[in-house]
Amino acid sequence: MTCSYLFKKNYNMRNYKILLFVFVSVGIVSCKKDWIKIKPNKSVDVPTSVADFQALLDNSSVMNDIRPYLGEVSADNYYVTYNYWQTLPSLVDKNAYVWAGDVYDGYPTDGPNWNNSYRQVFYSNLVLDDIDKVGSEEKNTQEWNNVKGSALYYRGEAFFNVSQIYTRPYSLTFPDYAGIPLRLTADISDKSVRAGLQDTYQQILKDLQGSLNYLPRIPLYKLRPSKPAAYALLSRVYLVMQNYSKALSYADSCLQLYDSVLDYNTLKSTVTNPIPGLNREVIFQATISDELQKVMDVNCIVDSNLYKSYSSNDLRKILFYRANTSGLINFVGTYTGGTVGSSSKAFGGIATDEVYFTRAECYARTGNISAAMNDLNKVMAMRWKTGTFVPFTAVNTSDALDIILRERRKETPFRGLRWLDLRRLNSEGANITLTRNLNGQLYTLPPNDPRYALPIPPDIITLSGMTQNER
Amino acid sequence: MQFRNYLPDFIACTAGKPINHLKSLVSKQTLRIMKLTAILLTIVFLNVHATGVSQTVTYSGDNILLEKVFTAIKQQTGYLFLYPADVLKDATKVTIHVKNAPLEEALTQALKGQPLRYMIQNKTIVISKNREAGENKKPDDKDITAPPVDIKGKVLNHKGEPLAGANVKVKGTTIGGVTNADGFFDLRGVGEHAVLEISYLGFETQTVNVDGRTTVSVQLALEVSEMASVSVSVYTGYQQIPKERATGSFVQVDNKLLNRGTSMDVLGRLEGVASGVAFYRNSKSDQPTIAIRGRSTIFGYAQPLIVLDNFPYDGDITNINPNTVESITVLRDAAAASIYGVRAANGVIVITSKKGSANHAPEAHFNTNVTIGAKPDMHYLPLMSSPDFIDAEKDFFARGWYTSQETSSAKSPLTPVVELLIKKRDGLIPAAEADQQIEALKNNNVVDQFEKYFLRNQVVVQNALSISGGGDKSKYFLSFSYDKDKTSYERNRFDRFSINANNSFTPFKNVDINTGLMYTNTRFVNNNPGINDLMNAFGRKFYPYAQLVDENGYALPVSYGIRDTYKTLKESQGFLDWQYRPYDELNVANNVTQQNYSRVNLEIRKTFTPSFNIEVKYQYEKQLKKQNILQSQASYYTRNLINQYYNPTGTVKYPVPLGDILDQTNSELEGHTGRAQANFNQVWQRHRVSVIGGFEIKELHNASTPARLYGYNDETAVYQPVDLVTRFSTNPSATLLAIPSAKPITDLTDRFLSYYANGSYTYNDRYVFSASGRLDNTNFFGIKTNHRVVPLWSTGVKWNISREGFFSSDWLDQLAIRATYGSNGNIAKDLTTYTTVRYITDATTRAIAASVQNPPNPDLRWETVNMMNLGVLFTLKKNVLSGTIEYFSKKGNNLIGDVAMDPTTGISGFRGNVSNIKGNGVDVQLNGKVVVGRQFSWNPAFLFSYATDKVTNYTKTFVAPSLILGGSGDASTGLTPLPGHPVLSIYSFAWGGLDPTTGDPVGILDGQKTTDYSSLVTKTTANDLVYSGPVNPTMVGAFRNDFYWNSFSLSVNITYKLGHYFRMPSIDYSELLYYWAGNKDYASRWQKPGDEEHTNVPSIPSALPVSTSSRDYRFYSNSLVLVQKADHIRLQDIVISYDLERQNLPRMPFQRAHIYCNMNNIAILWRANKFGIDPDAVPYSESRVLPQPRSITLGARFDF
Repeated sequence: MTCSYLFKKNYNMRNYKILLFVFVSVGIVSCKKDWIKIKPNKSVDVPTSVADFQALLDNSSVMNDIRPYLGEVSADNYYVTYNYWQTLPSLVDKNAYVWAGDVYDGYPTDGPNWNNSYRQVFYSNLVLDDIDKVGSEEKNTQEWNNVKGSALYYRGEAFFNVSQIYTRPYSLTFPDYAGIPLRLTADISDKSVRAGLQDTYQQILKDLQGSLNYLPRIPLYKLRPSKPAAYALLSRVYLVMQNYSKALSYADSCLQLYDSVLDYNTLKSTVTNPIPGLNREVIFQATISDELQKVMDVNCIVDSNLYKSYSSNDLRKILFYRANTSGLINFVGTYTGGTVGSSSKAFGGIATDEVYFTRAECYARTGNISAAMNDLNKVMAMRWKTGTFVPFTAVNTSDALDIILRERRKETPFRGLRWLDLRRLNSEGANITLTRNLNGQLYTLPPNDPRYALPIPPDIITLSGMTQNER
Repeated sequence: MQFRNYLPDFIACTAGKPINHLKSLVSKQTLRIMKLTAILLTIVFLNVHATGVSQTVTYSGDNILLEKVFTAIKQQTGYLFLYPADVLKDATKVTIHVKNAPLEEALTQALKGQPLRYMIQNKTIVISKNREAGENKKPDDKDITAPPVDIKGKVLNHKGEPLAGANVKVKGTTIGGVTNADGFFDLRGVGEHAVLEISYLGFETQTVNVDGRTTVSVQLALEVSEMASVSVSVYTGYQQIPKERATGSFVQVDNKLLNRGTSMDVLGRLEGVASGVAFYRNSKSDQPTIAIRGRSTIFGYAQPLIVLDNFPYDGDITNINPNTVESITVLRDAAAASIYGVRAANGVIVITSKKGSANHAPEAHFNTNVTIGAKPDMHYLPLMSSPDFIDAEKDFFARGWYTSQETSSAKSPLTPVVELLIKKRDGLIPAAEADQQIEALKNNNVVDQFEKYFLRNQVVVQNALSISGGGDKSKYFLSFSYDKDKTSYERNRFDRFSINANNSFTPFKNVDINTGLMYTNTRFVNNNPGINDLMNAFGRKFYPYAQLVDENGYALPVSYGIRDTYKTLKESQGFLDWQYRPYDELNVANNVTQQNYSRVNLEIRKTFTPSFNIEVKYQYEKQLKKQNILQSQASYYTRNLINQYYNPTGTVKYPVPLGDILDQTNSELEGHTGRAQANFNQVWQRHRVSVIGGFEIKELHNASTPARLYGYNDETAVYQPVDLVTRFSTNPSATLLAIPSAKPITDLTDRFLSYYANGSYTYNDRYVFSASGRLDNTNFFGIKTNHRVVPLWSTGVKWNISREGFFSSDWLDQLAIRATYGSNGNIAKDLTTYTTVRYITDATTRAIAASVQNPPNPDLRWETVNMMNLGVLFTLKKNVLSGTIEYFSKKGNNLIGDVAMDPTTGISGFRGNVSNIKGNGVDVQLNGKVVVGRQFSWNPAFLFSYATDKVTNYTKTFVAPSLILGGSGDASTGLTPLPGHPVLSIYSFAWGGLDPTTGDPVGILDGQKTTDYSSLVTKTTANDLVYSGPVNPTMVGAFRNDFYWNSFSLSVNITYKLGHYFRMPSIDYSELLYYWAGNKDYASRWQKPGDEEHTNVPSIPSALPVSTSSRDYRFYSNSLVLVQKADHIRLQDIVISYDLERQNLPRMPFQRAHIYCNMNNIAILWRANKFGIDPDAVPYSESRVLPQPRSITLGARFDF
């Protein structure tokens, strides 16, 4: 207002001309510089401070809410009727359900799987590009550490999530398989180029291991990454890489810091979604894209073999599943509590039960049967009706592994993990063939089929010129 | 226009001899007309000011230019000089020495020996040529042959009143005189066959053959061409430009045309009367969008700039009371608008307030009118009938389609019929009883009930009182207005009170001060949920057989929100009443928005020489808006929210406390604008130069603070705190949710610093050249200086052909052509050059979160629109026909558009200056005048505007469904421009008829007919879509006929909109099933093979449709078969008025009364569609718009 008040100023007749001249000159000069540089909208800013960066990473609708869903759609936890399949509005979903060669089939882009994962990478890179440039008084504070650690975590996780949909399963025998674009700065003018599969995993590990140096042991919210979350995710990555000793040690590190298990006897099966969100098992809260809620739709029927595999005293049978009016089984046991924001979501984060199962499996694979069974029974005891639980025992390593893998399947359905396990176990020779039956037409996905890597979305191919996956 | 004609040919005095008696002869009214004209002419010819104090003159000099003497006299006495441009050309230099001499003496000295004479009339000195010299020497033949006679006579004005001061002259002689106060004249020695020429300023000159008579009576007619364009100059907000020298494309709507309409909002009065201004009513909102010459931007600001008096107006448009507006000027092309720089790309609407006039006795005007509007016609909506709806529900129930809804965890509500069918199925009531109850429901009709209890006749009352006048050194105008609108929706109303005061005074010599004060208080009560609440496609609230009120007038509940069975159960467990009763809701609603707008203007002008002055203007404006929505505990919203969070066993039983919920939003707009401007006007012989230049500085601050109070008690103004962070388990689905909190605060500041100049050069009144330039700088966030400052400019030429010596035409009076070219700017201030983030409260954690608003964009700049304009102006003799024909073409460059980015970058929607559009069009305005006899005239006016736009460059491509939705401009996802077509276009899927065996709609993909809807929807490319045409009319216009007969006038306006398309709503079975939104097309659906011959309405789908089914929602609704031409012609209004004059009714307490009756929205005369749809109110299923109801206004204007 330094300028405007001049207009109101009384003037002196005699000096009118002089005053006017002065006024005009002063007006022009004083108004020219900073006056015109004020920011137009208070709620819009250029992120420069630690708080700004934290706010970017706290944007849960970008950083927590949209994990890829195509893996779960392609996995074998559920089936749909032909009639329902026909009415599916998304052609991509329809195609992914039957593992069509060209999933996108003319549809140009993929928001939930590719774009949003890379949006998380972009947010992380915005932070990582500038976090070291903040003033020295802000540097290396607890807040600064949390921001830097979180950004590394989110980037590593996003790269990992994308790699599980769009690359072949990890393999030491085929190190030349194509990986994913590894964008390490926020500069949008950089071209996107696919890295090799080994480089992709190296970058994921580097980011996640890097994050361990900065992340806090206990996060302010479970929507923020923490040391236990990073350990757990590292164990998941190493599990996928079939590096069981590393997976074991990271799972162990996680559980050293956080090992809480939820007693299912405290839950009510009558509630719409019986497992509460942000419960004590949740280490890191994230959800799979909204698109997956269609899998939790009444029309998505849980695989009957899966459902039948639960014992009648197993509370998971009544807490995870519910019969719809037609008597068919739907999944209701998501670890998100059902609704996040305004839509029902499937859990895409990390919970202790998965970490226990990873450690148990790795113990079994490394021959430590008793430790393996201990971990298994620690979780299972909380899953059985009080008084009915008989601890699992195994006679040998392969028996232990069988039991653990069977219960792992039953423990973590509809979390996006089954797709990872199918890729991993098949490459080890588990020989699981998936089949779909639509109106008599049979579709199969044999083990280690190239279709375990989905095609890169067409717009990415067009705009970046990167190579497409062979299907 | 030939200004010479307007000048009175005063002949009553000889050189140097004043006619002082004249002043006393002239009646007040005559003076008024003369004064008005005089002032206007003064501005045109002289650019002088009413200054000075004395009536004596002191001056001394030898061989001085006569003009200089005049200037001195003017400065000393404050008298104005009035003379035609060429009158001084024969004047010689004068020698004059006077000291404290009376004005007359000074003038006599000055004009001594000159072929000139003067006349003083009411502070105006009229100089005219002395014609005696040459003409008198030649004796007239008739004078010799015929004996001279004396003639007496009377001159009357157009209303039959005596006209004092009229000039009566015998043609071809020097004999002449002036009429006295009673309009009489007396001429002696006139030839028997003489021809009298009677003239008076502002009236048409008349000639009368004496033919031996000794008495004649002459009635003069108003000079219509002049009256029609009272303002012979246009006001741009920066300067007055005489029309004659205006190169740009201006449209003026004068006070008479403005008052023809009776709408409460000022812009509404432009509809159908301003050429080139289109009112697009085909959006899904109730409010029209106003476009000047079509669309010029994609994502930029698309509305024209509104200027009120001197400055851009940023307040709410409803603050401006049309009764205080004098005229509106629309600036259409670059030369007209570029003075407004970056905000002018969409054209400029300059609103000029009423002002007082100098030397004018106080005068009061009172205008009052009442408008009665018909009840909106709900039956216009293509809704499904109750019997059809119930039959459909029975059918769907039989197919088992309600089972999933029946068991939904959200406890979705079911309609009474479905509930009855469930009871019948489950054996809870006897089948016969259920059937009987269902049959009974078929007789109900919610539309009738809604019409009865929620709608009414609109009654609008407008009152405006103004007082104006002025003395030597001051002018004033003061008005009070009070308007109230009892809208057609029960319990809604709008009240407006405004005060306007405009004052001008001259406190010192050569200094003029103008002040303006505007205060408006509005109060808007919005308690009625409106029809969209009732009929919204996604409402799931009303079914056609809902009963809102019982026979005793008590409100009845309807099935809404949650299933009845669940509500009843919970109510028995201590929950609050959970029923939803629409009629009660109407009565408990309390939603009031109060707005105060004040605006203060100060303008100081210092005149240094007659040709140079400097003015400084300042404006302060403030608008305070307070919206109060009190949702009492009696309202469903509050009861529902309390119930949703109620937890009888929890530590906090009522997370949402009992009591009312108050939503309060305080918004504030505050603006300061200052301007300093120098004006220079000079004439040397045949050269005329007019230049303005200045700078302007502006700050506009806009903030709003929403707040929500829970557990509020309106009696005690006490509220209770709530926990907005914890997520509580909610009923019925046990979802964890945080309690909803208020919307975020907004705080916006705009600053502008601009420099501008505008100049014109005129040679010999024939050739005009104009140019203007402007530099704008704004606080465009983080942008490079060279991109932030943008030079915008224009240039124009005009040739007044009819002024040329070679021009002679028997039928053409005036002919001019003009051409302009220039560039205007546009704003899209939400973009910046840096990476910016917007802060929000995270939905889950409630922590402060940020989302990336813009990726870095170092090349960001203004949008610019270059426009070329070519025009022809002509007037036929006697104004039988006059008009303008203009062609324009425009090109929008650097328009903000979306760029396709590799989403791997993290950005998929990147906006930058990458798009171009172009457009062209024609504006035609023709005014006719046909006079039949003395009493009757017919003035037709024809307006035609053609405007198109076409996207020429747009890099991002869209999939078919987005293109269809975004193309019509209604998608929340934004616009989806497609190169080669208008920004807003109707695209649709090709139509292959109905499948003859199933009644399924058939599409065409790759040339093959198919019913594979997901492929159709995903695989159809932009090129495969059918483009029908633009959403907005390419041709708009009006044909208005004004008839005058004595004191009666009748005006009929027929408007038309042509060249556009709309998408018809139709049945969508998924909407019917899930949202209870039916369409009457259901009745004509395909039911059996063969039906496809006579219907295009699909059958009931064979399988359960998903909520937004591919078949109906995606394909059929967007198929070509539902696209219709929107062309229509409308009988917009009829205005009848009658003028009462005091001399006809001497006992009338006022001078004049103007009584009028205005009938609006009368009928659609012709429409291209055969479905009875008003294309200005397409009944889309998501947003119901009803046609504007007919209305009738009765009113009167009194002049005291």
